[in-house]
Amino acid sequence: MSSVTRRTFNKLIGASAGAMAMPGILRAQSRKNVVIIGGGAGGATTARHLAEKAGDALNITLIEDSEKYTTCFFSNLYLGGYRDFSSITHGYDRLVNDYGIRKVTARAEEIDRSAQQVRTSTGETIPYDRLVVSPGIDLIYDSVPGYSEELSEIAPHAWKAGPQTQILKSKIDALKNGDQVVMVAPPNPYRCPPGPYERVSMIAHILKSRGLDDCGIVVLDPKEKFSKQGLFSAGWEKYYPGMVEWYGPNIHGGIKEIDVEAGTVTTDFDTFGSALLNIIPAQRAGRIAVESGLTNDSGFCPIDAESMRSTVDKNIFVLGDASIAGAMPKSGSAANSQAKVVVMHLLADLTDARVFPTRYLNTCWSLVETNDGIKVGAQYANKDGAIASTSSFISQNDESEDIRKQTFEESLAWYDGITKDMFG
Amino acid sequence: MDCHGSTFRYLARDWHITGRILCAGRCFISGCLVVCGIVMIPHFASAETGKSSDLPLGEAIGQVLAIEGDAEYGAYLATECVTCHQQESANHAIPVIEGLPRDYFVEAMLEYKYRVRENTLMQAVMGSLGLEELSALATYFSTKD
Repeated sequence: MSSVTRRTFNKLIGASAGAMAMPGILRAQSRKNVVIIGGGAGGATTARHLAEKAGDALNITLIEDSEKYTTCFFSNLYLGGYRDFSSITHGYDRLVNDYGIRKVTARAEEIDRSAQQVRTSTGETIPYDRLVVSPGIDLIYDSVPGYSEELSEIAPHAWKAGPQTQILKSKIDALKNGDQVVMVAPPNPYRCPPGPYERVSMIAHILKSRGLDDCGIVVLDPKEKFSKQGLFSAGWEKYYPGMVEWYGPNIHGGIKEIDVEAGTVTTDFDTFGSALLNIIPAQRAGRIAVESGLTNDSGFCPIDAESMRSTVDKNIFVLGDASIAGAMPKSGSAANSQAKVVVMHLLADLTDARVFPTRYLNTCWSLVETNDGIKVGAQYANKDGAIASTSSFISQNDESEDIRKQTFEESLAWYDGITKDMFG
Repeated sequence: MDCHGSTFRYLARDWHITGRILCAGRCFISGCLVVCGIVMIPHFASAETGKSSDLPLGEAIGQVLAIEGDAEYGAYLATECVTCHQQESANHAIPVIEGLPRDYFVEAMLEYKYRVRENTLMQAVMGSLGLEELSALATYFSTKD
């Protein structure tokens, strides 16, 4: 009997049911249900890898309200004119057709944790044995006084990729010589730590390449320092001298008010006028995670470092930007890595799969100017109950142009790879 | 009883030892006997620090090749690699690694670990990977088409 695994046992059950009148229904009922909320780097990767490994042993449902998904990563390269919008937008067709995943195009409205089911905006109720919550971030609009979701049509955040990114792009392309851009950067913790500063580089690249040398970009930052600061600062000085001014809280003294119609940001230090305002507010876990009681006072979701399992509910895994993943940043790369860990634990929970010591990886690529790519990243593991870095790397200021070009080319191959890893 | 995949660790000098309890059978019906064994897996001395080991590169290659690779463990570890290393590469910057011969794979990865081979990302990835893990990965990738 010891040689009989759960899977073969299930097959025996299925075989005996074959003699009965409703074998198909019985087999379907014997399969466990995994429901995944969110079709980004965390959710899509989980769905694809789980389907690849589980075959038809599990029913996998992916709930995502977009028909197509635009990646936040590389959206700055779209702003900089290096990518077109379609190249950063991906469909779920292969996940559905090649992997047998059920895609529900709807919002997840409510998680009933005691009944183990999710209610969608289209009125469907979907039961789960295990739930994966990967909703990304929500923006706390009023964290910037005077800002609101409605005003993001005029002063885009573009921190969720899609129409917002296109609005920002059209406003960048409409700038005239002498115009000023003001970015209000977000406080920690937020999605994509180097993102605002890569965006500054890409806006500067557009202005420079259009000969708009009298334009300026002002960054008003609530943080004392930022990701890859030395590398970005050196790049701005090298390629865009005099164009970028960055002010931390020690200088501007705090953002008091923005007036979107007037295009002004008032700080303790001064009032900054602009032709284009890019406001990136504070962030928290996506609404569904907050309303389901999966978050703590930080606004993000505590998880077990070995498995990404919610510390609140053992039937739920939370990953990606919505989770509190210790030393890992909030990034598509991190979410993709966490998804592999979640898949391993889902398979161990629901089939007879083995569990191995968990590893995580993150890489953040940024483009400063054409063929000048920089990277930062680290390997992580569970150390005494927290996700901690075990080794790391970062680009250097004194490295050669060849290495920077190679880093940019690596980033192109990485994008191609991770999107195949997510969407098949 | 659900001993499957349970892990424990302790630190002995510079060597990390991971014990994994492996079950030959699975107890899914109450009272069913399962056969368990304990496998001791040595981890590379520098696994936590990212620095290369005192062990000479040549000896490290020999040690990894001598370990029978656990392809199932390799399949899990490989999920990290395949985010970048897909079956087809968009350009030359990230090579295809599926199907690489085991001995070549081990040598190349240890050269990253020992920082003989350039690429800071790969050096960091390999810096935190133990010999047993490397053997498992090499076995997994060498048996892929």
